[in-house]
Amino acid sequence: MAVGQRTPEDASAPAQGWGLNTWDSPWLNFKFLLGAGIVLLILLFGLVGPFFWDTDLAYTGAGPLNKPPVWAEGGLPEHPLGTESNGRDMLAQLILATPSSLKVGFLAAIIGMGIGMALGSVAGYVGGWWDHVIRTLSDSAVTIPALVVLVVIASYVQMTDTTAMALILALFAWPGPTRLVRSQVLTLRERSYVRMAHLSGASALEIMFVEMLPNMLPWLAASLTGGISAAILGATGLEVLGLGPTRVPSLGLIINQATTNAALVRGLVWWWLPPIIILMIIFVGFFLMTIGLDEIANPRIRQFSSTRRERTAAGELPPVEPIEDGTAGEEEAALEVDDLHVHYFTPRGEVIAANGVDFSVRKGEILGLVGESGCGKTTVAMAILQVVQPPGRIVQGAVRIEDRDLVSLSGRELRQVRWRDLALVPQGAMNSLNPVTPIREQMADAILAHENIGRVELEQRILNLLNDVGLPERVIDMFPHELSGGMKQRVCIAMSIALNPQVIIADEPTSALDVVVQRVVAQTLLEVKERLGVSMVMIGHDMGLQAQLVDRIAVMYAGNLVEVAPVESAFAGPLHPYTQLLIESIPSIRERKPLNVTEGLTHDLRDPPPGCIFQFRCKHVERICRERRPELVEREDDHLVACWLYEPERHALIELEEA
Amino acid sequence: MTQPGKAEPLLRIRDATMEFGGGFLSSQPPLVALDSFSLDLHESPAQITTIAGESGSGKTTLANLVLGFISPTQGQILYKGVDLSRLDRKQRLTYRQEVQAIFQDPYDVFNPFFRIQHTFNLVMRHFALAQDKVERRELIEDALNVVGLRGDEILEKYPHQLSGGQRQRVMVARAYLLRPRLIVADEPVSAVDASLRAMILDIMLRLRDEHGISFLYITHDLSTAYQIGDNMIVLFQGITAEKGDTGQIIENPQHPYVQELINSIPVPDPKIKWDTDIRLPAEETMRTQNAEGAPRGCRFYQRCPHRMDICLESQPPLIPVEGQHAVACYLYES
Repeated sequence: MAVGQRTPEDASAPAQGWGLNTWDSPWLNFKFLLGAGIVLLILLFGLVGPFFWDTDLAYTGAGPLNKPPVWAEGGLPEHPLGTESNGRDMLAQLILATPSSLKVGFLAAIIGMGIGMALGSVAGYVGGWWDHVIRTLSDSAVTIPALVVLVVIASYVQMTDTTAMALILALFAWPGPTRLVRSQVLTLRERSYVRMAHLSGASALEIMFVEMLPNMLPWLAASLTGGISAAILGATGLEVLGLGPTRVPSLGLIINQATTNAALVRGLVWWWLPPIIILMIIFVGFFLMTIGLDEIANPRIRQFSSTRRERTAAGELPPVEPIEDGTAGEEEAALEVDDLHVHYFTPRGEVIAANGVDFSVRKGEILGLVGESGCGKTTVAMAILQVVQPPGRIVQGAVRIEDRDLVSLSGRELRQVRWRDLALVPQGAMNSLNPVTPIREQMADAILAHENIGRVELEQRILNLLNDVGLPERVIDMFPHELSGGMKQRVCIAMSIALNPQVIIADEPTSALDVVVQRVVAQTLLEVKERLGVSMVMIGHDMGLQAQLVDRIAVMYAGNLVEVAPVESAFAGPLHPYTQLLIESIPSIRERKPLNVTEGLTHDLRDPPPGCIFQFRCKHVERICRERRPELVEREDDHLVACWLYEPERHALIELEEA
Repeated sequence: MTQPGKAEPLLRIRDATMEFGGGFLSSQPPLVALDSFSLDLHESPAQITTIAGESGSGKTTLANLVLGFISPTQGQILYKGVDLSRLDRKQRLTYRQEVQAIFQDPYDVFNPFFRIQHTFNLVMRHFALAQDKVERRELIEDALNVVGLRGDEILEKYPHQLSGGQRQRVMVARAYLLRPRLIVADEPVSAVDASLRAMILDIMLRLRDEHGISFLYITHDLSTAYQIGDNMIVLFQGITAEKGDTGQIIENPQHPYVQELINSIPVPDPKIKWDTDIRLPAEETMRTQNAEGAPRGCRFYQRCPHRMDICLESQPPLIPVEGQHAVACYLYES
């Protein structure tokens, strides 16, 4: 076996996963870092403050009474934030109170987290009765109104210091982490790598701490920061009520003293407002950390926020280049895709997912769009429907239905085109049905969104559609969960033809279905095509299925179309080496043949090589293939291929270039 | 371990039944994922035994049973003659080392937190395979060479930096490192691209031929099984529908279900279109009826074109048709 040429793939791609030491680390989240910075600053204020300010001033009688801050009238420079009714310096009080409030929060949250991790992992990993007991306890603990119980406990227990306070608060800090860890463990233990570690002889403890824990870190951290601010809030609440330790200065205690001394009525704003401001800054800091950590744990949240950015910043992006309408191509085309370029703008460079894809779907035909995972076939489908997800974007090209370029349509115009002219049967379509609505309503919604028809007509229309896809009439009153996967898939096909579209995009319409059901669904699609004369783009990777279903086949490799041909000639005489490879590697049920092993290294999609896109895997690679990209040219009747092998002049071409 | 006599099979599964749910608190009858399954797997000659079936056939349950992730509700699973639930500490370690697995998803088998090295370190440490660092590295390198990889290419990388084919080969190398007697390969190629599929299957063949490793090849894909498998068992809703030599079953299927299954595989030739229309008129009744209660009679009754009255009475036993070839269908009762 050839141990692969080195390709750009090996050299590139810095660690994206959880590597903590790279610049790509997800921990470099702006909100998280900003929040951490704020918390750090507040902490520094409390820790460094005593070195710059005399904290003895925080005790009774240290200064004059009720002096306002230095900038107000009557303020004194030796008491920059003023003094209160006992002559205590506000700045010194705040310096002492801030770290003690933070300490209570940290301590309580960490104790709670520790208990939660122990209980949660036992419940999740051991399961059984342990799980029952722990889950019941933590669930019921969550329902207890924490502050009320805290008040009751705090009024009985004489709290001398912050540690005692933290311990009491920890009573309410454990259920959250317990539930979190339990659910994480339950999810992770089903992961293959955890089962693999089990097979590698790892003990339960090792699996818990080495395999699972690192993957929970972002969630745990988010829970911890959330827990800290909750604990600070609880502690402050008790202190304000006068139930906290009275000898230790704390932010809540300052507020408590301010209120008992009627500072509010007397207008001593500088007494009660500063602790509140500090608390607010602390909460904002922890809040930012928490949502930052949430984004780190669920990268999809970040994606959503970047979607919005992409939209508002749309003006800065280079405009889609209009293609002058040559009205070329065959007239019978139902859908034309013209020089389509789709790029994904990732932080580590532009991924070229579709590079000048150019094909048309003729009226009443099924065009198969095939290729392996990551070749860009689904991207092309999404681009046809104008639903490319950010950071992806159509940078060039046109998608035409009846001479209307969908790329240039507005959102509203597009909504009219979708379903009516262009429908989609999505990948795993059966999961796109709403589980709580009967089929009747889901189909009615789709129709009524575009057409205004009466109830009787609507009903009849739905029944006809179900009939079209070979489903019995009673399906109309059933819920998705009452249907098998194949039936749900056929409901989705029925919905896609509801408005008599001209083109249906079917994205792997039978993947994840059993073979027998797959055949039923595939035949349904064929029947629908025959009966309605609709055109289809059938996206897939199963060459056997393509052979059965499509009229013409378009083969994609790494974002480029390499061959477009009628299905018979594509299977009988594939021209492109990649198509040949695809067809040779179909396992046959008819004959036992030796396995055809090839090395499958591809290039980095961000950095396509000059020349042919398939050069790293091609057996016939020549010099010209490394230097110039072959174009898609008709070499046989209706059979297009992008390969230099079929260019007789290729040697002359390269020599000409040299000269 | 009891006498490892010559006739003692490597793995023997005796009437294993696995039920999920049910119990005295549940109003629903238990779901029978696997029903009285039996299998003998001999150590030599090493063979690839295919467990074929579609979703809900119980094939993954079987994999989990053999790997010891779950224990059967009834019946026994014996490794070298000892019941899996009765292995002592030492035997358990041997069993862990000798029965390994390759899973379907080559993305999910790696902990994203660690470099590829971690996967190998884990087994190295727990099975004390090497005396020192040098030997350790040699063993890993050797295992990687078997699957056509080099240590300096991949060991320091994170899983997502490898291609799907590389990842799956690393998993094979990891299993090979332990010199197992049996590898449970649960859909090892169904998430791998077509052009890479052959490479993985080829490695399985070489491990069988050159290293005497047996495989339990669990798949829904009969055509790859046909290319590499020796024996085959086709499961349908937890029942063994047909068992025998792979060639016999694929070329001459006997059970109506297996016939339907093989006929439904799309032929990769546009000139040979699916012959007749296939209908699953009772597709949804077949589901609801199964949920209503434990079905009696043949599980395939609803869909069977040859159904007879006797089929409703009890599940047909395995009836031998020719040599090892046996079918659970009353059509073949003499």
